[in-house]
Amino acid sequence: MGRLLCVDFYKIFRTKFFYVVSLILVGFNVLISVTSVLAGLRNYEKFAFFESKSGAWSVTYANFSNIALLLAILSVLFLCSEFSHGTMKNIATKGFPREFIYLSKFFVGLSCAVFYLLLTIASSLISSLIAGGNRLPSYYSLPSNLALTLLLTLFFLAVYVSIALMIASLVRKSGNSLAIYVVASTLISFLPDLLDNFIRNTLNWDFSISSYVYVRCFNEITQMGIVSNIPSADIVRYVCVGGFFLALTLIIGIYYFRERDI
Amino acid sequence: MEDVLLTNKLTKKYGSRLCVSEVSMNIKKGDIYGFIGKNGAGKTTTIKMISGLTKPTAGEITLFGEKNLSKGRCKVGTVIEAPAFVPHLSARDNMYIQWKLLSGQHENVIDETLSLVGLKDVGKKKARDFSLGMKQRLGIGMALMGDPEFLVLDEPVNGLDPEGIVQVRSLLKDLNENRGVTIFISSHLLNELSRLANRYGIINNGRLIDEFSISELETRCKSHLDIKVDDTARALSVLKEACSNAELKLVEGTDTIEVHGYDGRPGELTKILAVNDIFVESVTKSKVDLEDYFMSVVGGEN
Ligand SMILES: Nc1ncnc2c1ncn2[C@@H]1O[C@H](COP(=O)(O)OP(=O)(O)O)[C@@H](O)[C@H]1O
Ligand SMILES: [Mg+2]
Repeated sequence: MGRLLCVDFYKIFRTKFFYVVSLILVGFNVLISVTSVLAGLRNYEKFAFFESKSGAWSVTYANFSNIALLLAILSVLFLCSEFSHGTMKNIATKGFPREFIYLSKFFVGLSCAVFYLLLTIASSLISSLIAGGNRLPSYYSLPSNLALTLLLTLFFLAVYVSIALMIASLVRKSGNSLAIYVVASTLISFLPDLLDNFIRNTLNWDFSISSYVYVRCFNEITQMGIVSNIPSADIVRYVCVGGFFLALTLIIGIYYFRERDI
Repeated sequence: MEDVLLTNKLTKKYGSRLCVSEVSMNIKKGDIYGFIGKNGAGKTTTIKMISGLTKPTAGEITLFGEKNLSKGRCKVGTVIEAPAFVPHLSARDNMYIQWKLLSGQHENVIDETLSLVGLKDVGKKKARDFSLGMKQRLGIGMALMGDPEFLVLDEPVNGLDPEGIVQVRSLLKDLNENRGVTIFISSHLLNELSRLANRYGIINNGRLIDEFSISELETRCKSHLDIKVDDTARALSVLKEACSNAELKLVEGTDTIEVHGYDGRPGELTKILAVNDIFVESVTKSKVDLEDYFMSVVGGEN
C-alpha cells in the first residue's frame, strides 16, 4: 500500500492537469473574493456575512464550494488516465490487491482535497484582505467553528472524490466520465428539490428529501457555517448523509474495480 | 526441473462465448515458450488470466509451485497487448515508476536496464515520441523492474520491422541465457519465434491443440524425398539395404515412398533402383516450412 501511494503521488505531481486545476482554483477564489468583498463594502447591510465577526473568513468559507467540482475533475482524469495509458496493467499484474489499488487513488484524491483546502484558504484570505483594505471588520479573529467546518468540508470533499472515482472506474474514458459526472451532479442537485415541492404541496407532508442529499449538506456547510454555530442535530445529519454517500460510492467503486477485467 | 507456470484446464467464457477452453500447459524454469495462434485464438485472454487482469471462469493457475498468486506475480514481468507507459514522461521516469512500485533493488538497476534495452541515450525525450521498436523495448525494460524470474510477453514483435524483431529477439535470448529468465511469448507468426523458443504451444479457437519441443519441430519440418515407383514392395527392400540409416515410409494408398534422414544425392537412389529393375516415375524433394506446418495443424480445425 505504501509503494502504491508513493507511485500514485509521483504520477499525479508529474501530470499537467494537477497544476492546471490548482491554477483555476486560485483564479476562481481570487475572482470571487475580490468581487464579493467590493460588492459587500458598497451594500454593507445586504451582506449578512459582514455582520459576523470575521469578514474575510466568510468569503473563504463560500469559496470551499469551488473545490468540489475541480477536485472531482482531477480525480476522474487521474483514474481514467491509468486506463487510457494502459498503466493500470503494470500495477494490476503485480499481485497487489485491487482494493488497495483503488484506495490508493482515493487517498491521493483526499490529499489533494487537503491541499486545495489550504490553497483556497490562503488565496481567498489574502485576496479579500487586499481587496477590503482597512474596511473589513475583524480581519484576524478566527471563526469559532473553524475546526468543525474544515473537518466537515474535508469529509464532504471525500464524498466528491469517491463519487468521481466510482464514475471513472465504471466508465474508464475521461470524456465520458466527466460528462456523466456533470449530468449526474446536476440531476442530483435539482431532482430532490422537485420532489420536495411535490411532497409539500401535493402530499402536504412536512419532509425534505434534499436535506438528506450530499449536495445540499455541503452547500449548507459552506454557505451558512459562518453565520451561526452549527446546531448539533445538523452535525449529526451531515455526518450520517456524508457517511452514507461515502460508503455507498466506495463500495460500488471497489466492487466493480475488483470484478472487472483491466 | 522446477515448474514456473502450471495451468490446469484454464477456461474463460465471455457471456456464452467460450474464448479459452481447458488450456493445460506447463512451463519449466529456463524455457522460452512460444505460444502461437491466429488472431482471436485466445492468446491475450490466456495471458490476462495468468497475470491477473481477468478472472478465469474455471481452472487453476500455479505460479512457481504456489497457488497463492499474488506472491508469485511480483516475480512476473509482463507486457500485455501494447507496452504501457505514461506518455508524457521520459523512459527513465517510466522505469522509475515501475522500480518504485516493486523496489527491493538499488536504483542503479534503472540505468543498467535502460542500457540493456538500448534506451540509455534517449535522455528527456517523451515516451510518446518513441518509435514502435523503442516503445516495445521500453515496455520490456519496465517489465524487467523488480528482477522478474518469469517474463510474459504478448506479441512483443507485433508491428516491428525486421531490425526491431532482431533486436527484441537477441534481447530476449540474452535475458534467457545470461539471467536465467523464463520467457512466455505469444505471437501469431510461428516464423518469428522459430529462432527463439525451445518449446511451443499452438492455440486455436481457445484450445491448446498441440505442444512440442524444438527438436520435435525439427523432425516434423525436416526435408525428405518422395520417390514414386511402380513396385513399392521391392523398392522398399532395395532401399532398406542401400541406405540403412534412412527412415523409409510408404505413403498409404499411393506408390510413393518417403525417405527421411537421407543426406546423399537423390540420383544415387534412382540409380540403385534402376539397377534393380525398378521403374522410378519421379523423385521430389519436399520440405515442411514452419508456417506450413502451423497452417496444417491449425487449418484442419476450421
Ligand atoms: N472482454 C471481452 N469480451 C468479449 N469477448 C472477448 C473479450 N476479450 C476477448 N474476447 C474474445 O475472445 C477471443 C480471443 O481474444 P484474444 O485472446 O484477444 O485473441 P488473441 O490475443 O489470440 O488475438 C476473441 O474472439 C475475442 O473477440
Ligand atoms: Mg492478442
